[in-house]
This record gives sequence, structure tokens and C-alpha cells, in this order.
Amino acid sequence: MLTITGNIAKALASQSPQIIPLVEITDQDANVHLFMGGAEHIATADNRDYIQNIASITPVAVEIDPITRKAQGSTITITMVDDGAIRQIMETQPLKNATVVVKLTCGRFVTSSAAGYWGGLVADIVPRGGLIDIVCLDALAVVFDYYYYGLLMNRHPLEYVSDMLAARGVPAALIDSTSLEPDTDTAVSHFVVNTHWTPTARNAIGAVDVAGTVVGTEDASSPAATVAAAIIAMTEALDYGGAVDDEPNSQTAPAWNIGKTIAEIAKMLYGTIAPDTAGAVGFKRFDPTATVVATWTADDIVSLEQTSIYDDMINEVRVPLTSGRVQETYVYRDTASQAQHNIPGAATYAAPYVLDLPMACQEFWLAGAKVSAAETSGPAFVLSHLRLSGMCGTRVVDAFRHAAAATTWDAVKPFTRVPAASLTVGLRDLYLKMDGEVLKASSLTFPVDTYWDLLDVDGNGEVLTTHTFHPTRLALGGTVTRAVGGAAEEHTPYRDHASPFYDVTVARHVAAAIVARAANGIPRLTIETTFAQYAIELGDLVAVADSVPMMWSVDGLTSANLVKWEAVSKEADLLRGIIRWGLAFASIHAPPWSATVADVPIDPAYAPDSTGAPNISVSLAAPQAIGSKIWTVVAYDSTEWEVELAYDLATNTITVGRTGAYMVSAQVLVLGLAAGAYCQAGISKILVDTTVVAVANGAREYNDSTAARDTTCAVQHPGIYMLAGQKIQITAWNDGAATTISGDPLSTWLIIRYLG
Amino acid sequence: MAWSSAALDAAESAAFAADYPILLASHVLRDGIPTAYPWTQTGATGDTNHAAAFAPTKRAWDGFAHAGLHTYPDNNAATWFLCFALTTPQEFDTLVLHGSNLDLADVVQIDIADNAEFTTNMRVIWQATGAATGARAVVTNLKYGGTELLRYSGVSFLRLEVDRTIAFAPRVRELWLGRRRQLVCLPERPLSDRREETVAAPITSKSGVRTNWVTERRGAARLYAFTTTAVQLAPLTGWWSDSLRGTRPFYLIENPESKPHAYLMRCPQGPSFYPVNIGNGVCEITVEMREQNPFLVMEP
Repeated sequence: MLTITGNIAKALASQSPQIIPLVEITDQDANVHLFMGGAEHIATADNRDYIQNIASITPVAVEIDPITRKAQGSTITITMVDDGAIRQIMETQPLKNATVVVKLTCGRFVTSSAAGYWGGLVADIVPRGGLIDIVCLDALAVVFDYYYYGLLMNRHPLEYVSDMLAARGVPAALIDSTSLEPDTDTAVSHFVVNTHWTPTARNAIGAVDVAGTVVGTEDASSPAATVAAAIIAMTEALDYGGAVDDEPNSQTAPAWNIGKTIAEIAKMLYGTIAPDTAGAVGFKRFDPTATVVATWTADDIVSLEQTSIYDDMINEVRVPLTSGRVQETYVYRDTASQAQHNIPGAATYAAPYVLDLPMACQEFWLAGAKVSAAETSGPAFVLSHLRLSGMCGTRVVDAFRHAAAATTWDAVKPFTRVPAASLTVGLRDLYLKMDGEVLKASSLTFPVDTYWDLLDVDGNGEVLTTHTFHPTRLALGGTVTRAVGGAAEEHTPYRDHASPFYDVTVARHVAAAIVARAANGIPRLTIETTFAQYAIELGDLVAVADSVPMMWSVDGLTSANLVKWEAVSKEADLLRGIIRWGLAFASIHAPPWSATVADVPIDPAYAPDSTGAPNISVSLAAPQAIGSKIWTVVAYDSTEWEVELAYDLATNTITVGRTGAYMVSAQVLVLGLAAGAYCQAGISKILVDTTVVAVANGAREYNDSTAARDTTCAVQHPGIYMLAGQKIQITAWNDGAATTISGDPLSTWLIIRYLG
Repeated sequence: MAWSSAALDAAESAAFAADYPILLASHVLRDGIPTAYPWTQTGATGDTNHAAAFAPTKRAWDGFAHAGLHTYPDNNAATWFLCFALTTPQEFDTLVLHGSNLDLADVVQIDIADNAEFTTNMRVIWQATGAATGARAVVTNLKYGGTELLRYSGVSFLRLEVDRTIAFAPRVRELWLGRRRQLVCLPERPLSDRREETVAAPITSKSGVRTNWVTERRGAARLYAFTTTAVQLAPLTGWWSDSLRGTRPFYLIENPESKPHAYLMRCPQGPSFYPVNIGNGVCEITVEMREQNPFLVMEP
């Protein structure tokens, strides 16, 4: 936030402030040309060089959206008397894109006491009838619609903001390097890998067979004998700042729209990235617990208007997730708010908001793949395509946690080249969405031979003891090969055998912030003040102590006089001496209905596909015997729903009526799996001629304990291509002694969805 | 062509002695079309121009005298000359000099001559200390070394010389030499010779606190009304011509003999020169003027 000097502060607060605008234009050769308005006599050496020719400066108008955090770039026009000064500069110096800084000072000034007012670059110069208009754009407007070429890989999002501005040529003076310094933003500690690399690079962690030999990969230089090694290979490929030769193949730098990308980062961090009063683009995280920077009373307020009570009411945030042909949605809602605002006759009232987070919610895969029909010992299933995608930005309570001594961003930056044994990014909350379920990783570590427990959690991230869906354990280390799952082999790209996961951690935090603020609407105020409040910036919190509306209520709920408001727009008019503010309710208040977000319903929540596309859900209600070391067809006996697909109890198959891709997910709970043994689930495609083709065999789930234990194995396929009339069948493998498959519909089940 | 000088005629001298206002619209540097205009240390107009970058000597006669729009040499020296060679020989009798730091100088003077080297027929026509020059020097009596009011004619070479013991770079906003239009009568309705205008926006808070947002404290404004004979109208006609029919800035110099105040004026929007003949060789005319930056009253 701008700190103004005592002289200008006193002048602004005086009875008859006379404020003088100063304009400093720095040309391409770093010559600084000085101009000023007002008619004060100039005599001191300090101000002798200011050409006194400014006729007017248009109001500065800046604005952010309190929901999306998108900041509008601003433009001003500085009108000068056409006294030849600008023309003479342009005889030798182009002024297009010259840096413009506007400052304010007071009568009998010294420039050292001037305060920032606006900063940007010259966009155009327009002579008109004895005047010359200098049209200027601020730093955000300058970068709008320009592109940044490079890989957004594993860096702090604020670093990208700095880099993108600098790449566009925004001068350092207009970049607030302090607030954009990652080391100072300890609130970011959710690490991700990147948002982009080529398919070739993905192959660096290609599947391995049972012997640990890489197969089906284009990167022969990466003999990943283990999954962990494969992960290391991938991280080397993505090593930010690392040697180029570690990359498996050349990569094409993608283009990023700078303006949109900065807006996305602001949204993901739920903060403000906008120019301050001095014109420098900086970052300020929205923090309703922050201290107000001012309390406005009737003495400060020229006019006040309460413009809305229920503006921007949001009690449900929907985040679209896209994976190829699969369209899913992550939903975060305040069910209490929806119940309290219910429409008469209806149970709830949903005020939804679609939150696009394309950079934060990209898919990745955690699954195995059959890679070769020629493998005599069976296809291998490995952890492949581990790609924690998107931008980091999750806000957690804890600061950086990577190594005990790490105190800076660079020190904790993950996925730089480190030995496998210390490849640890963990102990952070990570929310994943998979097949309609949200899972929370209670810990996330990547040493060899460890597991990643994905738990069923509620809206507050607490692990549920009563599951609404199926906890999953994923092996992240070691060789996790599995046996043959079908009578025939078919080579298919391993990617097709993976189940899409989405890292929705950022989505959850942003959605929670929005719902917490907007579940009862975001009341708005429009207030006019004098320039005495000039130092307050966008994103600052203020309190308003005024008469009726404030004393009684802001939104019909709060009675506090001094609730917090966020400055979301600011229009400063130098001619009138008035600043017109837009304020948005910032307090996270506690009216009767929004004390706690109690639940995070999932959409689709194991219900029939609302689109009407063919889909089916079946389960096993009665226990089923499973032999030792033999693939057993799972004989489902219960049907949750059937849409255009039907389960054949006689053959234990589902015949598809349409040609196209089908997403298949299945899970089997093997009861009493012998100690040291493993179980496995598989998907078989049965051709029209009844040939059985195994298309996915899940991952082996071992019972690592010394006693028999119930063990879950799962298999997912994001899109099996089926011809009309072909069938799908689920099989299970038990490598231990004969036992039983659980007859619990929540434990043994099958869901198929037609994708088109 | 050699320059010459002559005393003002008796009517002008008498009006001057009576402190009648002067209108000064002619500007010899502008009207004489300089062919050479260097800052030099030798004093010859043919020498290399040492004007600093982004401070060209054109600013000395652009009609703008506001702050910062000045010309100055590119280094410090004990003596600097701002020299001019004019295409058309000029006539003048009055000087207004706006400086930015001339108050620091020891000596400021104006020289005229008949050649570019200022070796032929050179004469110092005005000289003062820097302290006396200040931010605005108004000289209505260019009689340095003499006693009578002089009007110089046929001047093709002139220069400003600034001397200081400590080397420095003198800064000049406007060097205005011109031929006066000496009013030979006082306006009948000057309304107020202290008329000023200020622009301020009143602001009232909800609690009744009032402030004034001051955007401009303007200088002089004048509305002169005359009932003139033909002789009395002649200076006004000459001023109207010199100012290109009211489109160029000009000086109104009040109390020219006793305490000259030179206001840099412009006619307001839509200037007009509208003498109304009321018979018997007498006409009425109104002249409206408004000061432009720099405002005299704001100077120390």
C-alpha cells in the first residue's frame, strides 16, 4: 500500500487543498521529461524543470471484481497545452510506450514529497486545437492481449506475474517486486508440476513391464526400472532451471495471453493483482481478517448510497472439469444457505456460480496400462502419467514445508532435481476428484514403496468415518505389476487405460472463499469522499461508520457498525477533488445460517447421468466366492439404475447398444485376503463373436500385513471404444487362498457411462 | 543596415509619464524570423549553438513563458550569450524578460549591433543585476547610458548576455522585445485593476464539513472601456494589428513609468475589436483581457 508523505497528507486533509499534478515521462533513452499542472510560481531548483503546461488529467478509474478478482486496466488522458514541449521531444525521441508516472504534490512543493497517483505507458499522442492529448495505458492494460511464450512450470504464480509483465516491456518501476516476491507469500504451499508439456515428454515416464524395462516409450534414455524412477525421470524433464539435456525431447513453448493469465492467477490466489496508486502492479491477497486501513465517518463521506443487498449472492460454486470427452463438475455449496433461502414450495434455493479454473484444475492420471500384447508374462501396470497439473496457489495454514531449513520459495521449490529418497513434497492437503468423488490426500510423499491414501472427506477436509464413497489407496512406489487379465491381448495406448484425476485443491479453496463471502450476497456501497482518502488502494479494507444503514444493518443481518468493506473500485477525479468508491462487503460474518460449510456434495453424486446418455450402476449385494489364483467373473446382483444399458444376470455382462466410447469404473472388495497376497480387478471387452479382450486390469493391491485382511482393488477406464452389441464384464483375481468377494454395494460395484 | 534610435514622440512620452497603460503585442524575435539563435560563449551569432538537449532556444520566443518551458546552454560558464540574427530588421522600445534562474546572475544585459560578431556599432541598451531582474524583468525605458525614452529601429542583431562569477547555465523562458502601443488615455471603466479569478470546487461532507478543492488560482482579468477620439483609438488599433486581431498573447503593462506590472494576456474566446461610433468623431470600445500562466501575482 502506498504511504504518502506528511506534506501531501496534510495538504490533502486541509481545508483548501491545492493539489498539483506532476507528470514524468521517461523516453526510450531514459531521458526524464517533467511536466506539471497548476499555476504556482516555480522558483526552487527542485521544481525548476517541470514544464507547467498540463491542462487536465482525466479521472483515474480502477476496478476489480470481488468474485473473479479480475482487475480492469485503466487509461488516462493527460491534456497539455500545445506549447511545443512534446513536439520538440519527439523530434529526437519517440514517445510511444514511454513510461508515464503521474504524481501529486501540493502548493509550494518539493518533489520529494510527491505521492504516486498513476503510472503507465504512452499509447497515443493526439494534437487537437492548441492542446495535445497524451493517451496512456496502465501496466495491466498494456499487457492485455499480448502473449508470453514459455512453459509455466513449477514456479510460484507470482513469479509468472512479474515475468509476464517484464516480458511485455513493463518497466521495473511499474512492477511491485515486493508484493510479487514469492518468499513473502508464505500462504502458497500447494505445489504442482506444471500446466504444459508435450506428449513426448509424458513418455518419459512410460510404462514398464514386469522386468522393469521401459516399453512403448519414445524415450529410451529413461530406463525407469521402478515407478519411482519414472517419476524422477518426469521431474527431471520438468526441472525448472535445470539443464536442457535433461528434457527428453524438445518442447514447444506455448503462448499465454498475459492479461488473461494474470487474471487467472489473481483468481486462483483469490487476491488482487492490480496497479497501485503509484502505478506498480502488485499482489494483495483478500483477507477478511486483515485490519481496516481507515474508518470513514460522516466527516469523511460526501455521499453514500447502499446499492445492493443481494448482489452477487453465491451459495454454490461449480467448477467445470474437462478431460477429453469426459465432462465433470466439481461442486462446492453451502447447503445451509440454500435451505434458508429456499423458494416457497422448494427445499432449497441454489444461487450458482460457474467458476472456471482452467489452469488449476487440469487432469492427470494415476493408473496402469497394458502396453504390449507381446509380453509373455503379462502386461504391466504402473503408476504412469503422474501429472499434478495446474498452478499452485492453495492457501493453507502452514507455511512452506519441504525441509526444516527451508525458508524461501527457491529452497522449497519442489520437483527440482533431487535424489529419489528425498523427493518429498508432502504433508499438504491435496484434494483430488476422480470419477465424481472428491478425495483428500492426508499425506503426499513420493519416496519409493509408499502409498498415497486418498480418503473420503467432508467439506471441511475432515476424514469421514461413514463413507459415502470408496476410499482408495494408491501405490506410489515400487514395482506394481499385475498379472494377465484376459484371454487375449490387445495393444492400446496406455493413456487410454488411465482414469482421470483432477487436482481440485485450488478449486476447493477458491470456492470456499467465495461461498464464505457470498452465501448471503455481497452488499455494495457507493461512497464519495475527498482526496483525503486518496492513499487507500484497491483491495484495502475500510470500515464505514455512518447513520441509518450502517447502524441498523448492512444486509438485514449484521448489526455491527464497523463491518469491513473491500475497496473494489476507485474513481479519482482531480478536477472535482472527489473520489468515488465502490465497496463490497468483506466481512465473513456469522448470521444464523452460514456459520459452517457442512458438506461438499459431489456432482454427479452417484446418480444417473442427467444428460440421458446411456449409463448404468450395478453392485454386489450378496457375497460371492472367489477362487485362488483365478480370474473370477463378478456376478453383480443389484442394480442402482439403468439408462439404456441393462445388466444380464445370466451372463454377468452388459451389452452396449451404441457404438462409441464408454467410461468404466469398477471396484471389488476381497474379504480376508491372505497375508502377503494381492488382488486385482479387470475389465473385459467381449466382442460380438464372444472373443474376450482384457482392456484394463487395474493395479495389484497387496495385503502387506501379516494377517488376512479385507482389501479393495479397483479399475478404471476413461473411454473404452465399443461397437454396438459388444459386452463388458468385470473380473477379479485373488492371489491368495480362496475367499469371498464382499456383498456390500458400497464396496463392490460397477459404473458405466456412455461418452459418445 | 545599421540600427538607429529615436526618442518617443511627445504624446507617447507624456502618456508614459502619466502612467497610462501600455499594450505590447509585437515580438521582434517572432516577427523578425531569426536565422541564427545560438547559445554561445563568444557572443557571435555564427558560433555553434550550445543549447542543451530538450531545451532549444526557440523557447525564448514561442510566446509561452510558463515555468519549465525554458532554454538553457548545455554546460556551465561564467558568461553566456543568447544571440539572434534576424531576417527582417525590427523596431522595439520595450523589454519583458522571463528567467528561471537569472536572479543568480551578477549582470544581465541586452546588446544590439550591426554585425553577427557584435563588433560593429554594438551598444548595451539595458543592463541590470540578476537580483533586480528576478523572475520577470519589465523594462519600459530602454535608455541605458542615456536619458530619453528611445525606440530602436533597423535592429538585425541582438543578444542577451548573462554574467556570473560562478559558472552556471542561465535559463530563459521568454525574451520579449517589442514596440509598445502607448495608450494616450485611461480607460473609463477599468472596473478593478485588481480583478482576479480563482477556480475552486466546494465540497461538503455529510456532517457539514466544507472544503474547497482548489484547482487554479488565476491571475488578472481586465475589462477596459474607452470613449475615444481618433487619436486615442490609434494605439488600440495598432495593438489589434500587432496581436493578429487578438489571437496572439500580449502584455498589458500597467503603471509603466512608476511601477510597471506586465501581465501576459490573451483576449478571451472570440476576440473582437468593435469600436462603436457615437458621433462627433468619438467612438466607444471595450477590450477584454485575461492573464495566462505565468500569473504575475503568484511571483515573489
